[in-house]
Amino acid sequence: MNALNSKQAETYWVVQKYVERPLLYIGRKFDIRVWALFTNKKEVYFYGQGYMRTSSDDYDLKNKNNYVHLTNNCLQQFGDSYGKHEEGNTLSFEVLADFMKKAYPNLEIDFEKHFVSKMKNFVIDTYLSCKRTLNPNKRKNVFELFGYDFLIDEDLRTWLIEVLPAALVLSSNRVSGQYEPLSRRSKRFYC
Amino acid sequence: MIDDMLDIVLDPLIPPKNDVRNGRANNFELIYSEGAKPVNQREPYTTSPYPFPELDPRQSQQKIEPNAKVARETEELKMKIEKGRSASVESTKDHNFVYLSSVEAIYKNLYAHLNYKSEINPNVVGMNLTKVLGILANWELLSDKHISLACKSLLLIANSAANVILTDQNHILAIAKLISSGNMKLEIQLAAVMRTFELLGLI
Repeated sequence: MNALNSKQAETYWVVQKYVERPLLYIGRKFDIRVWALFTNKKEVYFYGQGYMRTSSDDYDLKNKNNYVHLTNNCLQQFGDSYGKHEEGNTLSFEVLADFMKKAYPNLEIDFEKHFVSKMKNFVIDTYLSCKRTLNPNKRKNVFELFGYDFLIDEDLRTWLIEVLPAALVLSSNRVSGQYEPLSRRSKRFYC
Repeated sequence: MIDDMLDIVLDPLIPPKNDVRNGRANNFELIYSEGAKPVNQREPYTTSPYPFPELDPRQSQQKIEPNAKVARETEELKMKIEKGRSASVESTKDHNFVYLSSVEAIYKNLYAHLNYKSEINPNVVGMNLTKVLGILANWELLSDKHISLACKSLLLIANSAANVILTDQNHILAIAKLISSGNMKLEIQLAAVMRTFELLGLI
């Protein structure tokens, strides 16, 4: 509440539930990054070649250390245990899908059907919620790329954590750079 | 990949001089479009956010408590009633006990479900409504306090977002019986009438 008191009046706030019981990858918290492209033709594209970002330390709700709870690469890279478990604290979807199948052997987990479909729902919902405010000047031939962060809880429910404009989500390490759309230069030329 | 994105947003306007794709598929998938060929991959809003029903805490809660307890007590109650109403005073006490605990459990369950759940499950509300109507039909076995509680349960549903459940034919018939019954307590008739008015949008 002290943080609230220090802010100016009439500022906007988002109050978000903390997911207390996330699904853990070998005892550590992780989130999922995927991409969505909005165009001025009122089209929404989903880039499914996402990746997962892990935290460096074992998850414990009582532990107030940010390195346990926040998986953002911009934070984790300054931690002492960064890269100790996975290079760049980053893993591919394939690793995640394999892990889930092993973690829940009694469930016939289909990563595309059970998780990616939920992520697509969130992407469409967020687009519909803000489409009237997109492109306010009605410019032609514009687009915007967004990074979507998701979390899965221990009941295998998918939660949307945040949506980021592409300017803030450029490659932050070598491993994630393999997956991020803007981190590679195109080899095409136009004129 | 940036090539995939440029393929969508730039190439239709300014075709590239060289082909860097070599037939490779575009990893961007169109999931929503309001264009000439509409696309919408959004799952129905009624789809559970939990991909596996066995891991849905709402489902497991229904299986365990308090609904299971209410269902069990109601079944016991039905069996006792079928054995005959001309039972001894002792037997009536038993009926009362089961009735009272059922009414309280139903009210608590409904109150929690309608006020604290992000999604209202119509099956839970419908099941509890059937029980309330059944219990009110046998109001002679209830104390004034529990008649009041049952009526409150009824009004709780009528004032909730799930009041469309009242339009179910079986429920309407049960309400009509409550209103038209000659020996029915006035309080119950009043609650039933109010609920009907609400249903019709008159109040």
